[in-house]
Amino acid sequence: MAKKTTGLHALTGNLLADGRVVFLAINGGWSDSLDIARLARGENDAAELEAEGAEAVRANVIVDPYLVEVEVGQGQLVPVELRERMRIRGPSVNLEFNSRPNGQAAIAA
Amino acid sequence: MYRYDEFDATFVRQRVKQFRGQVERRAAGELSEDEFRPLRLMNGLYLQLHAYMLRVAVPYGTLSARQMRKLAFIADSYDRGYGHFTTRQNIQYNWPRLPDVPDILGHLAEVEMHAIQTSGNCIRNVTADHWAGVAADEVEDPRPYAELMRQWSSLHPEFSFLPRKFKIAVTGSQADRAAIRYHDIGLRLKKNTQGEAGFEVFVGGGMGRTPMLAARVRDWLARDDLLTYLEAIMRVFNLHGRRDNKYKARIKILVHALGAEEFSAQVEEEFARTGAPRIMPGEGELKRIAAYFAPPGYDALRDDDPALALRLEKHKDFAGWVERNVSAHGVPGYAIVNISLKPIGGIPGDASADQMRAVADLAESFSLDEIRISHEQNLVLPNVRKRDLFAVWLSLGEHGLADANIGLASDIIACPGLDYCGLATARSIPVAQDISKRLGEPARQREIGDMKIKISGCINACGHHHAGHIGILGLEKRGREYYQITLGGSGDESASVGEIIGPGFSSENLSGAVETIVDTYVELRQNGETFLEAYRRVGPEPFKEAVYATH
Amino acid sequence: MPLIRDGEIIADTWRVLDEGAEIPGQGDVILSLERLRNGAGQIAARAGRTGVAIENSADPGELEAHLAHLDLIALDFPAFTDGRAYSQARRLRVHFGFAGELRARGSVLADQAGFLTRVGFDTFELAGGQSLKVWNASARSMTLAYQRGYDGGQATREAVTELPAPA
Repeated sequence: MAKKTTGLHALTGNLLADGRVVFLAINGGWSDSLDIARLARGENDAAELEAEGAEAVRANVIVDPYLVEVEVGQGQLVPVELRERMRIRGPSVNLEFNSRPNGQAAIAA
Repeated sequence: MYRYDEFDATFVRQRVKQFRGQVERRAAGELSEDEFRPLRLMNGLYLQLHAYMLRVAVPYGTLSARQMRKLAFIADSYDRGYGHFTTRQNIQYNWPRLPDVPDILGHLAEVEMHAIQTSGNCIRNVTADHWAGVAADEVEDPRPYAELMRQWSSLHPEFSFLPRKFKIAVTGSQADRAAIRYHDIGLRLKKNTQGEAGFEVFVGGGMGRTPMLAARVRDWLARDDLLTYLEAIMRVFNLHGRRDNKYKARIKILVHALGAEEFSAQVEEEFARTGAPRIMPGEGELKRIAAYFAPPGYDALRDDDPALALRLEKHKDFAGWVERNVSAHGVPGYAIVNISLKPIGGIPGDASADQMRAVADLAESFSLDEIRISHEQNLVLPNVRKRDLFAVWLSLGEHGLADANIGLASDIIACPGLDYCGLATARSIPVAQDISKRLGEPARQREIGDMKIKISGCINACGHHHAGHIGILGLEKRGREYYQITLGGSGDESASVGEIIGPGFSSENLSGAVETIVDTYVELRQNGETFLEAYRRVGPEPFKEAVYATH
Repeated sequence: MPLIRDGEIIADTWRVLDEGAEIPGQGDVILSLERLRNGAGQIAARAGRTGVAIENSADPGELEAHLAHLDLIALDFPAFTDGRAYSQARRLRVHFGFAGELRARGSVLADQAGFLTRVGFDTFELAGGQSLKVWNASARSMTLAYQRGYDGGQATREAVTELPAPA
């Protein structure tokens, strides 16, 4: 049985420097937010996104880019897969720590 | 405790410098991610769901106060002020930045620590009984051999690119607190009738999608043959272990495919050929290492302490904590204090930097400067005078570390799951929190008694669910988490693999199902049977009936 | 790709013989395992040197009968993470006492230099795009080793304790 798909994809990866989750943005940069992600509808668009991802890998900006399927839910873009929703959301636990930035300097600020 | 000499210190410093060079080459694009990944993994660095994760080894689970303070410093300076102690006596930091990692490793080297081979397809951090050297039931201290194996396995020229990861555990007691039969190699230290030390050797245990208990390949391996024999096992595995499918690449699959007898015959043949050159160090080196593990300067004390007896009578909470969290020490007047990292509703194995410093202070004042990490994700102060127990308990309480639940239903093992881990299919931590809140009322969990609940967020089984009396495996179907329950697993000397009881449960129904299982046990137990004893007597049926009638 | 020996790039006098080509009497040639098996008589009579290239799934014991006529054995790394050839090398050196040239081919990465040297390899076909400089830096990055009974330039603890204490 073929899996039902939305046919709508964004390109995601992790930044090489700190591993942060990012999406290829409409402006060509990389963004934490799916809201301004560049979207692909259909295979040709998707291939273009993947080519941009491969370029970012060559430029040592992004690690392991791939397409994530997204849908519009409750008025905003959300990934279809649970794992991808967790990647955007961050840990659902340890909030007293995970709202903090990394490192002492940042904590002191 | 083992201390680095100039050789060890230079080795670790060179390794840090080497990794710094590799990170620089990665940033400059001279190494691709495919090339860099295995190199960073062998230095403990993963790329997880949200960030990099650095796994630092606590070799055979032993730490000094100074080392623990350094772990706290790293949590504050390079992470978000906390760390996660794992089922393999490691600590994980969840938010380091790649360019900072060589500096973090440099800080670790200053206190004789490292992250070497905490990941990758190589020999991982060697683990041991967390009560090694102090347990009242110990035959011989396994730590000198664990340290010997740590050194031998570090950057092994032949065995650094194995078919799959390789885990070794060692115990020196008949009671197995190191889950040796769930390891690629499990070693039990014993003595023969002449009083010489040797090992019982098990090979091919593991969790994952194909849980197996290790088979015994040697009833007796003379101490002086240890490394030579290990090399024979490793060589057979390196040459013949499967490399075409990562789920079939562990040594357990090879042992199973060949049969334990044939596998053992191949190892013996290899062993017979590895006589020269000499692999094992000489007597002098073994003595050098063993000397570091000589008993610390214990006071000569009488075993019973009158002040303690009085405190136990007056303070019921303290007495309850002593009953669950304090264990018998081999030296009169001393006790082993187990510190629970499982507060009710908390995150199994997590500790804040402040808590790490508090434990370091206590170790210095009350435990002859020693701390242990258990594979059950708790901490241990192994050398506490009985007369100091009350002070230690009070102080632990000030830091949220005095939960009296060791070995009880809320002392849950859980992997980080989908809250952090890139491999996970479902969350583990919220499930642990739910169950712990549901069963954790002190009188209730005491009434339930010994109970090991273990939760993994995927089939890789880092949360040891196969070895749980109640095991929980988190999976995902159509974007929703669901959980399979297994019953009857055990990681101790009576090791067994848990059995799946039936269809899985949604996040909403899971903790209720676990509670039903626990209630069913309480109802049917006879003469003070533990859950595991009762399960082994009655089998899964009564539990299945109760659970699937109500959920 | 550059061929490295003792930290320097050297000329490669060896050529891999095409399948089906006649085994020449002269010159340094590398044969497949099958050619070696079938041409044993011919090889013994060669004036030139003979080598063999084996896959990393082959049993090095198969070479035992031929070792007297072999000057080179080339072992393969289909991926640098596939470490079978380390154990093949170890068996050839220690079990069978092979003293000729052991060559590492395939996905040979500078970062493997220390490991390869210690199990007994002496020449390395460095995979694309890597420099001799990086190879040498990697080869020298660890001067100490814990394992006894392996060769290579690194010192074990026993060797070091015999040295004067570091300044």
